[in-house]
Amino acid sequence: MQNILTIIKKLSRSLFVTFVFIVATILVTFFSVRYFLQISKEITENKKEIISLEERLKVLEKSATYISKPAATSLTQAFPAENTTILSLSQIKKIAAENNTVINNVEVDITENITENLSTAAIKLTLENETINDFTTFFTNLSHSLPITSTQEITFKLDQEQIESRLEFNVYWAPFPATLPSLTTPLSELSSEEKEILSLIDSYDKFEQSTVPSLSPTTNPGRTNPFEPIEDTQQNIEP
Amino acid sequence: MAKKFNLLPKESDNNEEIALSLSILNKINLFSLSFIFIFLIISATLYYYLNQESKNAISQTSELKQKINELQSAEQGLILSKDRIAKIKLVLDNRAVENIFEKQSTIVNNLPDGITFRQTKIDLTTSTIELDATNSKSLLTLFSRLLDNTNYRELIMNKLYFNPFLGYSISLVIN
Repeated sequence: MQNILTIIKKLSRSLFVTFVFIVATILVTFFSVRYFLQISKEITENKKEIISLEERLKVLEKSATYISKPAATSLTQAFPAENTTILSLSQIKKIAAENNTVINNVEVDITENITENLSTAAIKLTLENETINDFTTFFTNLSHSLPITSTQEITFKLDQEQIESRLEFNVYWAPFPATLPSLTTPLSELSSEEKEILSLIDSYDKFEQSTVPSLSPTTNPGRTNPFEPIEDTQQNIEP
Repeated sequence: MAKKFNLLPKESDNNEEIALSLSILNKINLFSLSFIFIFLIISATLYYYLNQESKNAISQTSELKQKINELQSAEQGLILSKDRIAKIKLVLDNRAVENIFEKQSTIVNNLPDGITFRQTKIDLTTSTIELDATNSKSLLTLFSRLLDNTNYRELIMNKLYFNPFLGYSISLVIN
């Protein structure tokens, strides 16, 4: 009887050890595989991110070479963020003076019209030229100047040895982009068509940006501190 | 006749089977132990390797991000340029009047003798030019020049007047 008990003890101990080993093997395998899969996934994602970041870096390094500061300035002058009506009128006046063009009338429709995220305003001009060539040069120079415009209508006629014309065109503006895309968003460099537009706009006649001279504060010898309260002199006057 | 006797106790029969079971169980235990041991060695190596890979990837990513941050002004320039160019393209694509004006200018600058310009009207839908001719010969020269030019998508003569004192007056639609 004692012998049987010893055998059962031995068997059960051995079975228990086997069970523990099997469970341990399963658990170790499960958790290890899970961990390795997770870390492998993270590494793959990191590598993908590295590839996209490297591409982005290449694009940025290249773009720094062809988007010069003057080119970027031309683009912002071509399509400013604020209403360009005044700038366009100033350019028209300058071009008219250079091309023997008399501006008889200017009408500006400042009603902001937003189409395809572009704000527009309409300018109508009545002009007088001595020759057709003057008008042609005026119009060509106007369409090759910044801010960019698009003509809606031209009417011109020869009237008693003078060219009378009427021009109607739109000026445009749109707010600048306010945010940069995330680092993982793919960024492409300028396409050949975009580069062509960039060089075309860079060749257009730009407007001069006026600079305000720095003003030095004036001194007031009478009062050391001009913001001091003025003394009430009437208090000393006796009735 | 010889007779076989089993003098061993009855339990010893079972003992053999139990010993066999115990040896199988021990083998399983040994196998599991060796498996766990080998697996742990492989896991440790793999863990070290993957950890290094992960660390390298993270440091490379942060290094690249830093480089990109240093080029932030170039990035701003690129984003701004792309945005402005897209908008400029929209305007340039709608510049139909300017293109027609160029075509009409070419005609006016190359008018034959005896033809004078009277008036023109160009808008987004129509484009007409009116010319005066003193005689039919100059009109013929004008038409032959116009027909030689392949720049026009559409060339329609929609009016032709004749006045014996003033000559011919024509109106052309050009696109």
